[in-house]
Amino acid sequence: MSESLAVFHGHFGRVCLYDMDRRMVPHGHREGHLIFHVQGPPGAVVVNDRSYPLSAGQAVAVSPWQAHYYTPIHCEQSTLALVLYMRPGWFLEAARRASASLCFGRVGIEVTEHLSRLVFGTAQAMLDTDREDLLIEDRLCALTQGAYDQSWQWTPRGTEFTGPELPRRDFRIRKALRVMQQRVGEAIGLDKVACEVGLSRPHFYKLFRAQIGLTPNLYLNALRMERAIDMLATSQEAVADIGFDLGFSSQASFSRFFISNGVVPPSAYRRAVQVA
Amino acid sequence: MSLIAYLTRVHFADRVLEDALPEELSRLGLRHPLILTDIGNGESDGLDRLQDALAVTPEEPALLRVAASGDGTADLSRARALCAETGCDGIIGFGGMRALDLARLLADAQRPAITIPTQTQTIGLGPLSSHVVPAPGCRAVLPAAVLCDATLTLGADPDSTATAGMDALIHCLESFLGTAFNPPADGIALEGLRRCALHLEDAVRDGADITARRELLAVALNGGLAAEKGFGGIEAAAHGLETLSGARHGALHGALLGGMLSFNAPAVSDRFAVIRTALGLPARSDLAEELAALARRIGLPTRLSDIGIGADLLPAAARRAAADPANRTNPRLATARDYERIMRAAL
Repeated sequence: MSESLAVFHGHFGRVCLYDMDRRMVPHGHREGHLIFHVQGPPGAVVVNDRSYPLSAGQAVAVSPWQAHYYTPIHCEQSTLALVLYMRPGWFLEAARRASASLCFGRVGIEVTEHLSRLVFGTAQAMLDTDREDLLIEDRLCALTQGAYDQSWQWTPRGTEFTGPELPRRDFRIRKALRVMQQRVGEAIGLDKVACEVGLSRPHFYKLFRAQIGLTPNLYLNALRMERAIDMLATSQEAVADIGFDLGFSSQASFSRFFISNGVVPPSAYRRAVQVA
Repeated sequence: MSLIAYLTRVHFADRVLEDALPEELSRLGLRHPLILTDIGNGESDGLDRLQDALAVTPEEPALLRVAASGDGTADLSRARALCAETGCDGIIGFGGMRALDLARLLADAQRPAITIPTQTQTIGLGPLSSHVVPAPGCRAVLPAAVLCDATLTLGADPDSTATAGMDALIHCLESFLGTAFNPPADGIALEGLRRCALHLEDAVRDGADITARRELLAVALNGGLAAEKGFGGIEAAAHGLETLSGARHGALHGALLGGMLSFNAPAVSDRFAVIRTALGLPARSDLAEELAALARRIGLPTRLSDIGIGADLLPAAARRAAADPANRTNPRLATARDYERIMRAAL
């Protein structure tokens, strides 16, 4: 069973230290995502159906709304990883560049000595629960900036990068995003969403995936995870009740969903989380 | 660093719209904003991008299109009525000068404004430039946030780039020449002039040059920040003439600047040397002549008669110029007679 050793929430987003030994399901989220290997055997992260190594020298950068999942290579031993979920809005204020958006130029990141020092410094500070880490935000900013800059080096768009080429969204997809956002707590059927916005089911799925980058199912899962994480961190509500609020019929089904999308059980996440 | 907290929050980055707008809406607690725009139907894909970035609001926000020029008073009344009808909790000014000005006039402490320029002229700071007569007691507020995204300004035609760029240049010039004591504003104005001299002609030549666009948007930003000191006689005279002739704001600056700089020289000629340095001009060059030559190179008229303004308009335009708020911060007291003389010499 994967474990969460420490979780910090802050203006920057979230940073987690996970001991991972099981494969996750494909998922995505609105944050920019960085995964660094800290200890144990190497693993792999599959991003848009391509596998990237997660090892001492190789980290993985996932852009917002890119489908991905972690998969272990040696199942008998777990891998300790530092996992960052950075809010694009925070990076906007913290970044030094005149281009916005936490969209990475490539997935594979070489862990240089500089990045490695930051990774281990952050992991150590997170495990030292007796001392408040005043530098955590600075370190996370340096890590994100370092990985971001490297991801755009030697790419065709390189320094000319002015942000991702976003497809023009269909107004029906825009409406669907609103419906899903508003009714994330209800057991909402995607067929119904398609019907409400005036699209057939196959057309809705195809258009949604082309314009958002994820299937509607994965998008809805991401919204549920966001809501679940927020409630686990900021409310006193029982885990089972949070699950019910999000449309799950039992605590077991909510836990299964949370583990496969977010590594650890919701109760373990709540125990580990600290708001920085 | 893309957050500048001088006067207000300014996000300045390419493609910043998509990330910063949801962030600012959430910070300000806005759920039902009203969009005010002077962009015509099908004129730009910027509005689509705006609607996409607004997908976080519970419903599609109401949108009001206003005229980009002419008397904007009726549009302000329409906007006010729509605001009351929809119960909007904030205003998003999206587009050119008129949209941003009206958003600032419509906003108040309970209903903040976010301005998002799509032209490199004004960003929604400083004195208003549009012809709008607000209700008594109605004042333009400072936007709660400004989003400067150069990718929204791509593709403007040479004519509108030239007028927008010259207007932003004059904002910097007149702010620097203003006699109020404000050292940071002076520094900001000079930096705006320097960037404008380096990039205005490139931006006019190629509407897709993102570097030139970004630089000109920075000039507009600097012009807005420095405008704390107020504008001067070139803006005042231009307002007076534009109201009566319908000329685009910024199009007449090239014709007016020579006379106005000469008029102001007794009060502020010691500052001309600093401006020459910022613009990269030779030490002994004639500032007015050099700026007129720049206007000519970017295709702007340097005589008022070039765009059909006749002598008959001048007395009324001069009276308007003398009464314009920008005249109050001109370095020398200028009367209607002074303005008429300067305009006549520029015919």
